[in-house]
Order: sequence, then structure tokens, then C-alpha cells
Amino acid sequence: MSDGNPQALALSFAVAVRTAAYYEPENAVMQQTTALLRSLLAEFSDAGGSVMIGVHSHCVFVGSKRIRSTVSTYGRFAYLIELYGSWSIDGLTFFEGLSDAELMAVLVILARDKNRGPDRLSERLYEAGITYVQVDLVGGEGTRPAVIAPVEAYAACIQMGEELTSGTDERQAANVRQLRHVTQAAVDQILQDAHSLVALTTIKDFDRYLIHHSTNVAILSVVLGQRLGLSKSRLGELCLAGFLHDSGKLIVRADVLNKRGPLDPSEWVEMRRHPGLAAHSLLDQPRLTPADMRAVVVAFEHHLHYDMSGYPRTTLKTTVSLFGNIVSIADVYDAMTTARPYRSNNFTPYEALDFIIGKSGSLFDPMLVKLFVEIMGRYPAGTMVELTTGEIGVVSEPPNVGMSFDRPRVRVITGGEPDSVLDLCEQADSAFIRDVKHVLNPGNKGEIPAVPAGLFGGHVANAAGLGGVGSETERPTAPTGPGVAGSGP
Amino acid sequence: MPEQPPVPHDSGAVARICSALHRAYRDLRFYPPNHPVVQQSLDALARVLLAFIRQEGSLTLGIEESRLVYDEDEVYSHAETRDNLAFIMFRDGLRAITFQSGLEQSETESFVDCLARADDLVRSEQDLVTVFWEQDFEHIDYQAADPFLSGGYLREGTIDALRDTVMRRLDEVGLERNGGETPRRIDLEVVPTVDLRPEMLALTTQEFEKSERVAEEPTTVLDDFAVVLLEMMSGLGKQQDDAELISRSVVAVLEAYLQVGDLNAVNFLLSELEKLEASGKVTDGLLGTVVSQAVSVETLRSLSLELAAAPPERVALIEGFLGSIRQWVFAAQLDVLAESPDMNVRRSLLAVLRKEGGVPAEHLKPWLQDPRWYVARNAAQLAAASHDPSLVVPLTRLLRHPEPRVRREAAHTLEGFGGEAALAGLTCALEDSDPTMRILAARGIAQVGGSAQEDLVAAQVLSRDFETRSPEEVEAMVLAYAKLSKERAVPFLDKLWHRRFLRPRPLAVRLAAIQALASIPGELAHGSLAQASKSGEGPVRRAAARALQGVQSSGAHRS
Repeated sequence: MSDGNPQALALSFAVAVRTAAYYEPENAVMQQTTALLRSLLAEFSDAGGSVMIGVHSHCVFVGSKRIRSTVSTYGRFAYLIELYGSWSIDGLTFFEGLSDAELMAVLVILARDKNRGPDRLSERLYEAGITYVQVDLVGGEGTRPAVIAPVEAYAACIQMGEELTSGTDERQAANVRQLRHVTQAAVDQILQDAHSLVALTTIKDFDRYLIHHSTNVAILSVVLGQRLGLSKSRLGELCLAGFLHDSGKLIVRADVLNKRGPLDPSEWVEMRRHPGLAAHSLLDQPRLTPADMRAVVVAFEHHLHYDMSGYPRTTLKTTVSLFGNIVSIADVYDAMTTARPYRSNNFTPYEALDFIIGKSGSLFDPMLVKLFVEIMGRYPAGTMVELTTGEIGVVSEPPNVGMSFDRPRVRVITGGEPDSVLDLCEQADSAFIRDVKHVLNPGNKGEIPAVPAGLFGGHVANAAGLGGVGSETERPTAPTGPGVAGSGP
Repeated sequence: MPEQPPVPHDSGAVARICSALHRAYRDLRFYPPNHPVVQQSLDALARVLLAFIRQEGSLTLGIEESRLVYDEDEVYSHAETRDNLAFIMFRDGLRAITFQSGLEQSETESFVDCLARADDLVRSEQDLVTVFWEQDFEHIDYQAADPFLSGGYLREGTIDALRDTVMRRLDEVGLERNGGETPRRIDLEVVPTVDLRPEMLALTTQEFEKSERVAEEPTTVLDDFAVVLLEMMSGLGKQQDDAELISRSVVAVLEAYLQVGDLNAVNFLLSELEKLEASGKVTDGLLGTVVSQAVSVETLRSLSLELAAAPPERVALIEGFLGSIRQWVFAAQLDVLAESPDMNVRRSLLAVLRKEGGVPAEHLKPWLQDPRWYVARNAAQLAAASHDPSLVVPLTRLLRHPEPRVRREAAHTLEGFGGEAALAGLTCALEDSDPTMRILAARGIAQVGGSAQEDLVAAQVLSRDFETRSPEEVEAMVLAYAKLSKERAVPFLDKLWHRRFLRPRPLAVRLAAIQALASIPGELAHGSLAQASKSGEGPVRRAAARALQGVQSSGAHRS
């Protein structure tokens, strides 16, 4: 294989497939892109005259070389990973002898064929008479780490949170190990399908605020870390740190923690001890790993702002760590979007995001804020919106990478076909069919769950997921079973 | 493309791979990673494993409690459970390992390294599943029987509770239908929207660069962690229990810094701790406790070894560090000093230990009695810096040490001590069989002795063999004699420089007498010198003239 930069080949391939989605084969741009790709394929061919571009564990590979995703390449690689997923393939091997025309045909099939699924790509390439490209199917060889459904990963985090907060402040060895495995499972899940996990963070249980909040902050932090291009092991550390950031609240006086009203100055003093208390309690381990150390740092820092305002007051620290800045955004976002009975005005996700944008550069790291908005979209999951076509629905998923950030997917509640999902990127005659007309705050709760109750399987008593306003029509039960979170078109 | 023919099932080859895997695992546990034995066994493993993968595409090993299986055939077992690879992996929840096509030798080495660390992982509450996950092998997959990873052990009701929460929340906003009744109308409030153009969210060039930098940054967390610990200490005051927990972590950080040799970070941490202690924010003595726990003999040894080969800036850094912590690690430093075979290392350590009052006597005393002569010698040398009177006795004892080098060092140190006790030792050394010892004793007595030693020194200069001794000893003795006896010594010295016809004196003895006369004030000595300056013997005449000139000029200077 060439000693050149394999990232160039992977990027060239991603660009070529994407170009094929928009341009006809005879278009000059398309031909230029294909020619460049073919020359790179030839350059990177190994001794056997082949080169494989694959996806494994949410990473793009060229041959056996893993290509790291960065902020600037994230969009193109995310597209490629999504594309492979939609075809249920792990890799494509290109053999010597592939002509420009054949390569062009492969790109067009990959980008434009709607009928995708296991074995479909092999069939389509065979039909097109393409013999110099080999398809590796998902799980075709050997084993892969077990992958669980998003709901199960989320539920495991909640369960772990319950176990850690169930009265004992001594974390047993088994719990520590399990906690690591749970956070690993969450990271694996986010790498595979971040949107589903983000949608699940909108569930929010006021009675178990701390448990849900810890889980949600961990998930939102990892999603932001992933967008930043952090390695998997660092995402694992970030997840653990996010999960444990508020553990000091378990030590804060219960009357202060659970007070249903504004805190007086002395109560604030008590409340503001929680970052230090969390950091301190996390130190109490026989041997601190780097992940534990990060958790301590993040717990201590999560109320310190980008401009070093906030608490606890520091004398030596001059900056907040990267993880601290990430968790700080996730923490504020999740806290703001959780309705509290004592608040006269609960925030919608839209408003919470607006607050974060407004405080960019002072309370929050501007670079991270921009990436966070890009991930969440202008209307984050859980936002209730009214569309210009009259439907009212809840944002279930942000727009795809590269699409306009204010065109999410919306699951209809009323005014249209209930539970159907509308993609605001959808166009007719080169114009968008619908836009967001209003952001709504339902019952002053700010945010509503972006996932239907039916997602969790079993019998849904007295309900069929999200009911439509004024609708008396029975609707089919929402999709059930593991592996489905949120809804897609 | 032509289909490849099916490859025959070859359990024997897989058994050989497992055997190579076991050997590499065992060697990596017993030898350091860069040891040739380890490298050989890792190479052997990679050779057989990569050859198999090339031929067969992949290799999946099933992991059972005490054996590895390949296509249901046992390909590995080991009688000793503790060293049984299958057990080690099974214990941590691994159930299958697959080596995929594209596997590289570096991956097999990392894989074996993980296995070799398995016992340590247990101690730090980690496991192989976590380590494999963090390694994120590109061509090694695994199956783990973890409750959460398989989803099967989720408590009954956990997912139901989530569903109930969703339903309850939807009901709260009027979206949940109750028993088929019409849902209540939702109270919908329109939220004012803010104009936000996408370009406002585009990353600037600096932000792009920053994003790439922070994502690629080395993953050390120690700096952040250390600062947080200091902040926590600063905020805690002297709450004993809390401070103890934090200081334990500070020790861990210091150990980690020292392991990678980051002395700048160590110095920063120590200086901040010192400030905290000085300001009374932490318990007195905390710094010393932390240092003595964190700095092991091993660390000192490795830093001392570095001293021999490091560039000057690094040497200065190490010496500075060793100097700053010396008071808390005397015992460990003396250990290293005693054991280091490298002379440069010993010199550097001695220099460090001699600084600022030297090593306290209680640390030195055991070393002064050490049977190894060089250890005792070094201790005697260090005793000079500590200047503790309680060391006189053990030092005096060293004057009878069989090794002359030890006796010399002891005498030299005692000379610096002065006082009666030291003089007693020096006096004893005057009769040592070792000429160097006698020289040292004479010089020492000349410095600190008095009339009580006069006779002893006189006995030396008057001894039969005196003139046969080395010029250096003769000079030292004669000078000591002159210093102690003053004018009383002049007749003897006057006789000494004169030529003797029978059995002529060596010139060195006569010149020493001239020099000694120059050290005695008074007319009598000067007269003898003046006479010598007119001697018919050139060397004596010149030496005396020079001495006289010196005496006169110093007299003029005094007047």
C-alpha cells in the first residue's frame, strides 16, 4: 500500500459518493471526482492489487489503517458511515482493473439506490456487471462485540444510577466495573446511533432527577466529544465523568437538595459544596485510574465557567479543562430543559439552547457551543413545534449532517397523521414543503419526551404513545422492541 | 473473482498459536518488555498467528473456564489456574476472541501486554473487557458475557419504569389519553424566537485548529488533576480525614509524574504544597509526609542513574529536585548512595546530601557502622557536612577501620569537627600505620590541637624512621610540631635544616624545616632562617630566602 495519506483516499471516496447523489455521471464535476478517486485507489492498492475502504466500530478504515475523524472531516465520514450502515456493509474492496465507468456506476448505486439492505448491494453490483468490487457484509466474519439497543443502554445507565444512589456511598468493586461497562455500552451506542440516545435524554423523571440528569449529561457530553473527534477511550472517560459529575449532591443536605423553592443564602452555601464533595468522594478509591482522575476534575469543575466565574472559587486554576467545558454545557442544557415545579417558567429546549448560545464566550467555550448547536440542531429533540403546514409535533431527530440546522425531523402529534415523522428537509419543486412556524411550550413544561412510550415494548396501558390533540381516532401502536429509538422516515 | 477453496480445519496449527501465545504471555510477565526473550516470543507468536490469518482470513477462539477451543476442539489448557490464559480471560467475562484479517504484529503485542497485566487490573478494579474496549483493537474482536452489554440482566421493571415516565410526562402536558377519553387540550404557549443565522455558528479558523488540537492532545490528566487536588486542599483547611484522602491522591500524582520523569510538574506541585503549608492551610508536615511516601528508593535510583548520562539542564533539574526533597528522603537517598555502582551518581548524590547542613546524625550513624568500607567512607564524608558532635564517637571508631580510605575520611572529618573529642581521635591517628592517615592527623592537630598534643607530635618528628618518611608526611609533621611548640621547636628545626655529614638528611626534610621555621614568629626563628639564607647549599639558601622574604612582607603588612 502507498505510504501516502490514506485519509485523502477515504475523504475522496466520501466526496465522490456524495457528489454522485447530486450530479449525473456525465457531469464534469462527477467525472473529475471519479478520476481523482480512481487514481488514489490505484495508488493505495496493496501487493494483491486491491484496497479496502471499510467501517468498523464507527470508524473509517483504509486497509487496516484507522482514519481518525476530526471536526473538519466529521461530516464526510459520518455520511460514509451512515451510507455503509444503510447498506448493511462493513467494507468495499476495490480491485485493480476497475474502470472509470465502473467506478462511476458503483458510486451512483451506492448514493442513489433507495432499495437498500443486506445483500442488496452485491446483487445490484452483479446486475450492473461490476466484478472488480467486493462487498463485505456486516458480521460477515468472526465475531463483533455484542451491541445492545439504545433503550437498553439508556436503561442500563438509569439502573446503574439507581444502584449507585441507593443509600450506600461505598462503591463496591463490582459496581465500579459495571459502571465502566455501562458507560462503554453507552459510548458504543452513541458511536452507532447518537440521535437515539439524545432522544432518550428527553424522558426526564422529576422524581429521580439526579439519576436521569447524570445519565443525560453523560450522553450529551459523549455526543459532543464524538463530534469533536475524541478517541473511543477518551469518550469512555468523558462518559464516566459526565455520569458522576453531580455525585456530590448525594452528600448535600437532603432538605436543601429537595427544597421546592428558591434557596436562601445559607442553603446556597450548602448547595455550592457539591462539586467539591463529589470530587472528594470520587477520590476514595484504592487506586485511581486516569478515568477516575478525569471524573474528579470534571466533578470539581462543572460549575466553573469558561471565564472562570462560577464556583468553587479557585486560586490556582486558570482554565477549565476540555471535559469540564463539555460537561458544563451538557449539565446546563439538561438542567434547563428539566421542568421544576417551583419554576414559574420552564424552558423549552429551544430556549435552553438560546441561553447557551447567548453565554458563548463567557460561561461556555464558543467552539463547543457551536458544535453543540450543530449536533442538537436549532430545534433540539423534545421541542414542540408548530409547522407552517399546520401540524403540531415534537422534534424527534436533528437534521442529517450537512443539512440546514433548522430542519429537523418532527413526529406529528396533531394536525396531520399522528406519529408520522416529517422531515423538514423534504422539498417539492426545489422548495421546502414546510418550515417551523412556532416553537411551543406545552403546559409550561418546556420539553416533552421525544420518544414514544411504545418504544419500550410491553403493553402500554391506557395509551398509545403520543396522543393527538383533540383526536379520537385510534392509531396503531408505535414501533416497539429494541433497536428502535425515535423514528426515522 | 474466483472463489477460494475451503481451507481444511487445522486444530494443530491453532494449538501451536495458543502455545506461542502462552509463552509470550509468560515471558512478558517475567521479563521487562524490552528483554530479548520477550521480543523473541512475541515475534514467534506474530509469525504463526499472522500466517494462519493470511491463510484462513480470521481465527476465532472460544473461551471456556479452563481451556480455549477452536471449532469445538480443545486447543489450549494449562494445569496452573493462575497462569491459565483461558481462565484469566474467562474470569473477566470474555467468551470469545477473534483475530481478524489485517491483524498487525503491534496489535498482537498490545493484546499479550493486556493479558500480562490482567492481575494488576484486578487490583485496580478494572478488567480485561475494559482494557480491550479502551484499546479499541482494529483487528481483534471479542465477545463479553457482561450483564449490561448483553442487556439480559437489566432489572425487571427498569424499562417499564421508563415507559411509565414517558406516559406520565405526556399526561402532564395533556398529551396522554386516559381510558380512551379525549385528551385534554394542551396549554400551548408560543415561545418568541430569535434570529440565528447559520454562519454565526460556523467555526473560525482558530476554532478549527483548536478543535483538532484538543482532540489530539496527549491524554494525560495529571496536570488538571493535580491543580484540582491543590484547590481542594486549599479549600478544606485542616480537616484531618479529608486532607488525608487528598494527600493520598497527591502521592499518587507525584508517583505518576516521577514515573514519567516530569520533574517540572513535581517541583510545581511541591512548591504549591509548601505554600499551603506555610500559610497554615494544611497540616504541618504534610509536605514531608507526601514526599516520603511518593519518592521511593527505586525512583531515586532511576533519577541517580539518569544523572550519569543526562544533558546538563536535566542534571541541574534532577539535582535541584533531589536537593529540595533531601530532608524527607535521607534514608532512601543513603540507600541509593550505598548501592549505586556509578561513581558519577555517587558524587552527585554526595553533593546533594552535603548541602544545607548535611544529613542528620541519626540517619548517618547506622551507615558509619556499615561493613561495606565504601559505605562507611561515604558516611564519614557526609558527617563532615552535618557537623554533629554525636558523630565524633563513631568517627573515632572508624579510625581503626581496616580500610585506610575509611580511616582517612574519618580523620579528615574529625579535623573539621575540632574540639577535644575530635583531637583524641586525631591523636590516635598519628600512630596509624597508614602514612596518609598520619598526614591527615598531623594537619588536623596543627589546626585544632594545643600543648597537650605537643609531645605526641614531637615523638613523631623525633622517631628513628622520621627522616625516611615521605616528604609530604615530613612536611605535615614538622609544620604541626612548629605550630604546637612554637619557639620551643626552633632549636630542633634549626638542627634539622643543617647539613649533616654522617647519614645526610634528605633535602625534603631540611626544606620542611625551613618552611616550619617560617611559620614561627619571633627573632629566634628568623635568626635561624637568616642563617639558612646564607647556606652554601643552593636549594636551602633559596628556600630560606623566600621564606624570610615572606615573613618580612607579612610583618610589614601587619605593621
